[in-house]
Amino acid sequence: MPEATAATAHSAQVQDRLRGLVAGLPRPARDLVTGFVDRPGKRLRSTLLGAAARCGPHDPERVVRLGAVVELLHLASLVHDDVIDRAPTRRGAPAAHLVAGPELAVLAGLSCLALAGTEAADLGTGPNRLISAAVAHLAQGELLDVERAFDTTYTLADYDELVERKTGALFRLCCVLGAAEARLGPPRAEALAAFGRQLGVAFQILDDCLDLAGPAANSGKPAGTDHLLGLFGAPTLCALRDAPSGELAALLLDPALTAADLPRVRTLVIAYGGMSAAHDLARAAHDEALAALAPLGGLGDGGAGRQALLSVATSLWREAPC
Amino acid sequence: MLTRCADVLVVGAGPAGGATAAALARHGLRTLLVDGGEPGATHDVALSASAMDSLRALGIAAFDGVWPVEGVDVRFGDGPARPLPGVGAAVCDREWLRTRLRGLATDLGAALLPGRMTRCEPHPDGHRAMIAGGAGEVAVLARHVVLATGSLPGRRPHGEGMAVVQRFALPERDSRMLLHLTPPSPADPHERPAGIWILPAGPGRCTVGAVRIGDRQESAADLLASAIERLAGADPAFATARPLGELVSGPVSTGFAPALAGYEGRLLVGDAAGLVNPFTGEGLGYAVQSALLAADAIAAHPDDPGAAREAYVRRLARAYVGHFETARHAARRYHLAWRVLAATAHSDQPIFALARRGVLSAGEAAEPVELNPDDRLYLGPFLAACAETAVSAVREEWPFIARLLTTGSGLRPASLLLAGVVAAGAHPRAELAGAGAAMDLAALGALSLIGAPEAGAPDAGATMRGRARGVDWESAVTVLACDFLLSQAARLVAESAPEASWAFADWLAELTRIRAERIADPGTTDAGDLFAALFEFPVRIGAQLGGAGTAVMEALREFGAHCGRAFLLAEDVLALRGGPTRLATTTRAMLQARTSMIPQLLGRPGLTAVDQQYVRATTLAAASRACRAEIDLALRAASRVPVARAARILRAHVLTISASIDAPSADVMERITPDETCDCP
Repeated sequence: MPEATAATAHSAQVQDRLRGLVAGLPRPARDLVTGFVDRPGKRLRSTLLGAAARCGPHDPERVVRLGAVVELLHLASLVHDDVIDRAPTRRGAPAAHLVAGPELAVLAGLSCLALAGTEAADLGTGPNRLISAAVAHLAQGELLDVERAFDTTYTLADYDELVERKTGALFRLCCVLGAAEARLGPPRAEALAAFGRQLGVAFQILDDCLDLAGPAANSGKPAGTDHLLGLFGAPTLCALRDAPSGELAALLLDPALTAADLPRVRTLVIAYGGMSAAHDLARAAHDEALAALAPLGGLGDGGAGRQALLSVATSLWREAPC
Repeated sequence: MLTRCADVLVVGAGPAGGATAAALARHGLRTLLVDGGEPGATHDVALSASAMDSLRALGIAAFDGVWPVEGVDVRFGDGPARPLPGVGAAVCDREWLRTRLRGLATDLGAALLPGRMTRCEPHPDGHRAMIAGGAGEVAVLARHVVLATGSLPGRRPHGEGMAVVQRFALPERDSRMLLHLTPPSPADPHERPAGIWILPAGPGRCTVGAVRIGDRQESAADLLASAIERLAGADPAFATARPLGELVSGPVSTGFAPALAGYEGRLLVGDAAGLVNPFTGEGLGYAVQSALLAADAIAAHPDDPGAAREAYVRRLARAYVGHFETARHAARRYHLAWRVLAATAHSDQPIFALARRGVLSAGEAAEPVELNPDDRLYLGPFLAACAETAVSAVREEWPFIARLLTTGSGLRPASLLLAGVVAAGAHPRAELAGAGAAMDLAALGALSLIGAPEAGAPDAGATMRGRARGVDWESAVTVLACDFLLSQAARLVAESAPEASWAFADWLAELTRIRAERIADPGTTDAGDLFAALFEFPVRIGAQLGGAGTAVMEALREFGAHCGRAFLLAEDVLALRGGPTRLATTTRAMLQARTSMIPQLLGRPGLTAVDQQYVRATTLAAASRACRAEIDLALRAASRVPVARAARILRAHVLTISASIDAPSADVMERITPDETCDCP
């Protein structure tokens, strides 16, 4: 099957599976989550998992189920992040916590995690372990993400650790689960793990760029609002590091900062080279991800998987704003 | 030159040194206590309830020089002062305590050596130290050296600062203790906490203390003056309060790290180990507790200083888990704890109230579950392993949460899991400690589910600077705590008991369903379901892991459900009596969170407060009756468990609940909070 067709078919099956699973949730949670499933995002994570699985012979049905699990985890983290960030919208509709209040939104996210948990347990001890370890990493990332609030001196080393947990962990999980389904041995499975982690890091940096790039390049999410929460992404951290004066830091720490000031923040970040420095970081992570695929080499099924992974990595880069 | 020999050389005769020497002498060890005299004037210090327990354990029977404290209140910024339930304290003069402990040490056989240590080096027999005093230099050969020399500046740059204390004449003050904390600046993650406290110090007097962490250039007098100014903002009497006696100040070090406490072959206790609470300045309770731990560690390894040090560091790490540790992320973790404390200062929901107590109090003793010695021995190692696993799963990422795992109620889900395993006729395999730890973590995670912000509660933000920006900490911490704890629990189950993973996730789904339905429809749902599920799961999963048959499984599940309902009803009873409750909550908060059983007991689903005295009395009677009924049902279920030990452990849990509602304090009816309004239909 040609690459694009396979990916699309896989995505549709994951979507069906996800719909079926979410339909089984009890009432208040189901209503809150169904909308997000019906307005899917890019399904990047399940696509990545499907691509990784194509590195070897695999059971497509299991791969679809695992795809639904990683999308559920992603969904849960979106709902919970929106509570923490007080985000007004998600995928073009009001965020769950605004519809039902933070308490029910937290419970809805949690019921997705629980659902992912029973699915994971059903899929066997191996995947279950991998998934539960990754979820624990994600939760640590969530914590790191907020405890740095308003830190204008946050180092890029700390940032690296943060995005590795917050985003890299789930991307890595997708690759590791796919590798396990394709029964890859340790060297190739580790190569896939490194690919996933680095791709996740690149994705998060690009996402940070997107956050600041403005509504034009963005879909539904207001630009730069994380700055109001005191959460500064890669471009801003780079700009702060290289800033010739304290103007940007002072602006970011100003208690009276509002959405109206965000264009000024963006101008300063760009002027201090933050956007291009972040772009370089993303490029480096992306290059590392691609380099990690080298041990995969070869032809046959493994070759198809490698091709599919490259295709995910390429499209991720193509959609980048910077 | 004279050379003296000792098993242990204790350097510094303040409260920490005196307590160490007394405890060592009680163990029969030859102890030399180096007393360099005390510089400066004395001052009042707070003695936590657990510090008093430690002192009693050491042999101090009479507390003639101690002023009672009726209770401890906490205030953040300009917010109202709110009680810190379940935290007891007293106040004494530091010199009084120092003299008593030093006297006790010499009475028990420790020798006093006036002077200061000028040198200390390794020696084949342990250490060789030089003590310079009035009578010239004395050499001491000692197997162990304990440093109780107070704060050691320069070791822990993250957590150093200054404390200042002075007594004031203030006729109107009551005899409660107040902790006044400043909310953190929302936009400065590098800001360090600054705490102020007021101690009752006898009729018409009080002592004001302040601590500031960080290297701000500020004189002691300025620090105290700004503290008084802040206090005067809430109580104008402070503006004109007349100082009595001298202002006393000194460096403090809050940068506790267990490994540093075994520094260069010596054991550091008290302030020297950085054991000072950065939020409250409290150090005395830690000083006495660490002294006892050091003495115990040495007594356990009298001939092996290395092993004694290791044992001490291990015990400290366990006792002060997550408290003020210095680590790579320490500064940010502090700030997170501080933000959470400030943002949730108005809330009595369990997770916030427990966190407040865990961080701000000196550590109260856990409520004991009455077991016979044989069962205790049987349970002990397994439960210790569970606690260790649970703590190590969270301590690095979220040290202040780890604190909650080592304090509070002895009713631990891990021991219910163990009872389930034993009931199935199995023995607890060491690997199951992971599953036991998961039960403890998951219970705490589930508690954070009922930590939702109170609708209509006064916005804590009103008292916080610049709340308009930034993270909504109250909701955020609910999400973070529940994701973090539940995911760690799931990971531990997947690693140690994968066959229980499905049931664990399914239970999580059940908890979220029960809770969501309860919120959506409080009129027709049962508040007890959540706690029934919380208690039923650990016994069930224990039984499953132990391979129990259907009949045993049924009995255990019934037990768990009734035990959970009894626990919740006991919370209602204890809260109606004015607290403290095991979950550190209140009737109002329970009604608000829809966890209370009272609305359904009274048949009034919309109830939001129980205010009038007669309603309260009737309600109390109904809740007690219902609790006892659940206790009976739980006991009956336990009697159907065939393994005697399992039945005993299960019974002990229920009897702990039972004992707590059987023992009302005399002033129950007087403690009714007068400010509650009734808006029930």
